[in-house]
Amino acid sequence: MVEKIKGIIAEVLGLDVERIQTISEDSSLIELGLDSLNAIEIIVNLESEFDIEVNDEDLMIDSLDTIDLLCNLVKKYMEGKI
Amino acid sequence: MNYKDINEFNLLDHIAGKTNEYTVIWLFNIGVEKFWNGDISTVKNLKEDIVVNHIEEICLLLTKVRDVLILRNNPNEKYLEEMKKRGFEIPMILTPQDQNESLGISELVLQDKFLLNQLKELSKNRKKVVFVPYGVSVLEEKIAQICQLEMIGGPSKISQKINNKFFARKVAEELHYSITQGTICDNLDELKEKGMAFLNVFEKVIIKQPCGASGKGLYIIDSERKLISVIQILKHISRKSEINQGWIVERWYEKQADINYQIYIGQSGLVKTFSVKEQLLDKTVYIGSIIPPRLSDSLVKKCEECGKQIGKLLYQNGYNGIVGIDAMVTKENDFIPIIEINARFTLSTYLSFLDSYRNSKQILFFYEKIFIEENVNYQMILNELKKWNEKNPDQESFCCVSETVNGETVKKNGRLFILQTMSALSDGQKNYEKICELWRNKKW
Repeated sequence: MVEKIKGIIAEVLGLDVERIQTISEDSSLIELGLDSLNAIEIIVNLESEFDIEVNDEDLMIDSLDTIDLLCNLVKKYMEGKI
Repeated sequence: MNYKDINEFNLLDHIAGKTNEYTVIWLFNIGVEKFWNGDISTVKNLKEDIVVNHIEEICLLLTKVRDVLILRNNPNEKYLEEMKKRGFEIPMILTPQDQNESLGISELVLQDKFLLNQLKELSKNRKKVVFVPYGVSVLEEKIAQICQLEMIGGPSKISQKINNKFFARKVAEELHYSITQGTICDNLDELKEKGMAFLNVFEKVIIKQPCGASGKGLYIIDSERKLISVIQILKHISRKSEINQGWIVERWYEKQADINYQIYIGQSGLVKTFSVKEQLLDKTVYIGSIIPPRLSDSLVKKCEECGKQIGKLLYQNGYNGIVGIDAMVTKENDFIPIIEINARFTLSTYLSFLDSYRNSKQILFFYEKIFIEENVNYQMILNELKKWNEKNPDQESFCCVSETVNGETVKKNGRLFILQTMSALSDGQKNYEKICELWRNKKW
């Protein structure tokens, strides 16, 4: 899951594959260019990759700012499906 | 104030200091689109909103001593002193008691009885008082009504109509202007089909939502994969938004120049194009201006003429106030007079009266997002700029907004607004990139 999420982040933020591998899972993605415009692109890609639907209350940039936070978000919705 | 006075009032003359009869009450209600169309960005970024709201001090580039400026909080004393030193006039500043950062300035004003009373008193005691917000929604109309103020701009319904990108295309067609190759799509299936057809012919296309500012709702597409991903985004937004008015798909043009021209439409129907500038854009987002523009005199005249024609048409539609129009010259040297019509102030409006400040020199205005710790303040930024100015004696760089570099207010999301004057601007983009790099890499 982490690798898939990293792939999505790299594609949306325009980072190369090697660069995304060096980013720690608790580093701020905002500092790498995440903003409200491209965050929605990450969400949509996560929804389609993991077949989930993220609720509005989770669409706050601070809740999407690290790889860890995005993993937790996906896990939360995946668990909800079971 | 009576009907005759508001009809005779000319905001441009007031700012230029040609008349001193009026008091203008300025309000920087950026984000007004939200009250016209609902919020189209579905990911909320409160920290970003805080920074954007605090750009309000930029009004000080236009204010007069006898004016009144409503700000979220009183600016840094050092900043006011520096502005004064550079010839800008400091007006009376009024602030709401509640400084709730999650509310817009108009909402703060409307819930503040004391401030509303102060505005009412001003309206009573000074004979000629005019309220000039950044843009007019129902909130500013309510402030004007409660405080019995004559207002420049709007009305709200007309502003909303004009800011719609479908309307801008309609105006360009009506005035027989060159127009970007594109089409309106009513649904996402049609958008996909037309988007693919455009991609088969052009290297890049742009999809536009009809409402949105600051790059929101604009998507540059260079592949089928990207198109499908954007369609997914629009599907996502559609399921959460009540407004689905369709989309525009257009050819993306490589450009020689991005242009912005500003027009003023007085209450009596007077129309004047008062500023033509070259714009710096990061893809679709405004990042700066070059004054005067490096455009031919004939092109500047064309913009002025288009401004007049568009202004007349907007007045016939019931609008008065400031309008900012984006235009471009394509790589093939075609002039497209209308890309977007903003029936409100834009950041560029505030840079339109800098003649005495620039003193025949060239100005490069730009902003850069910077990461700053909470202990950073305006004085520290000035100290850094002083070092930069000493190293570059042919330029003077000045930070013209203080609160967006106040670490305590904006936390790590600083935004540095620079007015850079120089005797000659050989390459604005390079100059801009050089100074931005310095700030981007700076550790506080």
